[in-house]
Amino acid sequence: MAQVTRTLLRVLLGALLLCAGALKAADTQQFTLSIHNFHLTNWSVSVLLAVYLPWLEVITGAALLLRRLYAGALASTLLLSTLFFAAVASAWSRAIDISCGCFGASQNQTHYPSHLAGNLALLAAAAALSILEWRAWREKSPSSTNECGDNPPR
Amino acid sequence: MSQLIRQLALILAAALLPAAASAALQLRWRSETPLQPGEIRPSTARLWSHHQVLWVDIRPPARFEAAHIPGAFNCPPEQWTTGSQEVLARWSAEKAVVIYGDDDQETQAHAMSQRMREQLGFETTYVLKGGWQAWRR
Repeated sequence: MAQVTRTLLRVLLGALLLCAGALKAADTQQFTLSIHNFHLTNWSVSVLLAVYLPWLEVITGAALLLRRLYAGALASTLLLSTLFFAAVASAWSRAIDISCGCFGASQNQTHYPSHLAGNLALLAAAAALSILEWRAWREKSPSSTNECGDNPPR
Repeated sequence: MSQLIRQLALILAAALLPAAASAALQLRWRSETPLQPGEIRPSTARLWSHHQVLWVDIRPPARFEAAHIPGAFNCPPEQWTTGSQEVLARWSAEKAVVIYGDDDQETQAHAMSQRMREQLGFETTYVLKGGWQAWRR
């Protein structure tokens, strides 16, 4: 059961990050405006983030789906989901009306409660997957009662 | 833990390569006509639906009457006192303010943008890069 849950979460998060990243990477200019609308960064930093973040999402999503550099991909997923949640929460706290740009240019004005709930779900899924994988790794590690000697997920 | 940090660093670094290639392809326009802070390109503004934008046209009334962006409001700098009241009446929270003039009026458009931020309290205003001429292309 835990194995099925882990696989489902891994594929879901991987596909989500891959799609979201690809959509944003296709229109850097629009994503730059979306980031700039958060009023957290100056224009140059917004451009740099708009160029870099979508590809980090794509690489992270692909790594999750392929189970390559897996521990790093999980950490990156946690970082990204925390970053997105914090940015939207910050915009809401300052009552800024934004288009978040999470899935490219098609996104309209943000409805904060539902949007924050979505971000929280993403963060919770990433945290749950990390915990499940860590437990699975500990059960398989040589220091536990099971001495099969498997390596942690890569 | 060291393995995790090494893998995370690898992923962070791996994203740099496609990001650099993407920037070289998509941001080529920056070397031709760089955007100043607060400017927006017509191609981007066209993505926004009509009810999301309050267009402010700062050209002389005669030029505005001849042709303008649909839904635009004419507010030349010399008519600021009455024009600003009209802008406030037309503005709503879901609308972005985009100011444009003729292509030689960018300085005036930026001054108008700053005025709106300072005097009307708008948090975000944009100046249309290239003005009316760029929009018509």
